[in-house]
Amino acid sequence: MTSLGEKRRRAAGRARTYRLEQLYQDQDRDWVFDSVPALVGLLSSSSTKRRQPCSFDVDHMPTTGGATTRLALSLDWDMAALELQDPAVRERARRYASGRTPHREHLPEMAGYGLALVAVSVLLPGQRVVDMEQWRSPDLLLDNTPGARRGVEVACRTSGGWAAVRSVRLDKLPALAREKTLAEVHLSLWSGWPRVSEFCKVKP
Amino acid sequence: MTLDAYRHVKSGGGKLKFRARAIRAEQGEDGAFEAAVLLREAARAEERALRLLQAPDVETRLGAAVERCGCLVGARAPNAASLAWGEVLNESDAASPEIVRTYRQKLDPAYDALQRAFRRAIDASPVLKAARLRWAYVADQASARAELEALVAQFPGDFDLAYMLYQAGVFTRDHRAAWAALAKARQLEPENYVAWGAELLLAPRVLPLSKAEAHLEAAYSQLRRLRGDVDADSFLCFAVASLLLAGASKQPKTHHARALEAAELGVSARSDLFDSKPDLRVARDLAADLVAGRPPSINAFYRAGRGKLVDAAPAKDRNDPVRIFTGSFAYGGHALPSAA
Repeated sequence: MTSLGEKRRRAAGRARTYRLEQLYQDQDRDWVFDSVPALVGLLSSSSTKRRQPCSFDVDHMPTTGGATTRLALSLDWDMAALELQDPAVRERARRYASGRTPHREHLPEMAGYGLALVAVSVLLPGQRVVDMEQWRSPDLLLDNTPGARRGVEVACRTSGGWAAVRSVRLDKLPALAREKTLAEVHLSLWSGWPRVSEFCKVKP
Repeated sequence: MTLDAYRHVKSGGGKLKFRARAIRAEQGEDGAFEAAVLLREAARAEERALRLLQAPDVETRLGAAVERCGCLVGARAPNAASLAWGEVLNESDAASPEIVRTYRQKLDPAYDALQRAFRRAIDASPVLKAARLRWAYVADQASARAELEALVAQFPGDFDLAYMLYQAGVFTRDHRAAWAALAKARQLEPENYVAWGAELLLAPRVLPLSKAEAHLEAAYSQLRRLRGDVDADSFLCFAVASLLLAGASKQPKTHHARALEAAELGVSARSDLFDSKPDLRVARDLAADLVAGRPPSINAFYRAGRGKLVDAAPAKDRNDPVRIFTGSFAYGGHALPSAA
């Protein structure tokens, strides 16, 4: 019997496996070091039913308002390889996964940044995150040149699936579209369970 | 080149914000101070980056003001945030209402919540409130200290509160507690010269001789390097610390000579925000006597218009001009600085 997720992946015809240790090459270590533990924690937590590789159905819209293609993005990792980059990663991830970090609401937030870094590495190959904005959009900047900022707005929910992802998109889209000082913006939206995502260009 | 430098400095600030967020996520309140230190550095990076641009447009200026204020809100530093908030308001005047609404969407409620929490916390601190948050006016020091420690825990990124905790330690002669509080204040605002001066004054009283001498050695290099940009107050604190240290050191002449050099530089400093020059003239004359091998003269105070220090000194010190002078700096009475 074929699962629904498997049918989707076959229908889409695009599949990609990404190993988290590769993120240390594709993106600046400063971003990766703190997001990988939360990401592994999210993918390993009981609430999202641990299973490795973890596969996300990603709806990718590479041009604003254009066609969407579906990608089966499998995330895999070798903990020993991750520990070469961060000896404490196993313990940090375990604390996130067990909900023993002081602020549980930060788990999807930090994991979302990790997932967005993966999405940038896979879907915008060669591009690197260079800056972060905390109080204005977008969250992660690919270019912080004044008047021509390019970046990725990030949101991650632990659950909710497509409905949660779409709700966030509808919430964020109008303000981003209005922002005249942004040269290029992508939305990177994730649901921890069911594992679904949208990565769409919303500007220009 | 300027734009490259801007991008680089701004990016560095972004990484600090990200690290601070991770620390708060993983350590909660245990990491609140560490995160606050990073966020305050990120706020300074925003300011430094903006200064690198020749003619930033209004959106860039407002964006930097919003991020800077936001970092201070995130650091839970209400006093510094209120200063940065003024910049947000000023930059908003020049921007379109739509940009203002978009840029300040997250900041406005967070800033309001921080200031409300701060006012509630002050209302719950009756002794400090009665003293208008000035340690010198506090009536019941034990109660005030408990209130202040609660405020510092609630607002770990606030320099003014950390500095007041230092003052509390000095006023109660608990120099070790004062040193610990000052070390935290210095982490929050490493470039605050008032806190630097306080550290110089306290080092000879708290540190073992060798460490105190090493501390002043480093400060001496820094003063010589920055000389034109240093306020007279920093030269004064260094001169006083050198005179204090000379009393315990095996090389008093080195410290006397440095006190004289600092006092001379201080007397001619461009900036004198605390009216330090009369005291610097006292320090200069005392140090000049010591360097020349003469007994320091009490006349130094009268020549500089500081004769009241002689009258106010304890009777046992009145025949020792150096003790009169250094003793007058024992109470950490600097006004609260307001650098963010």
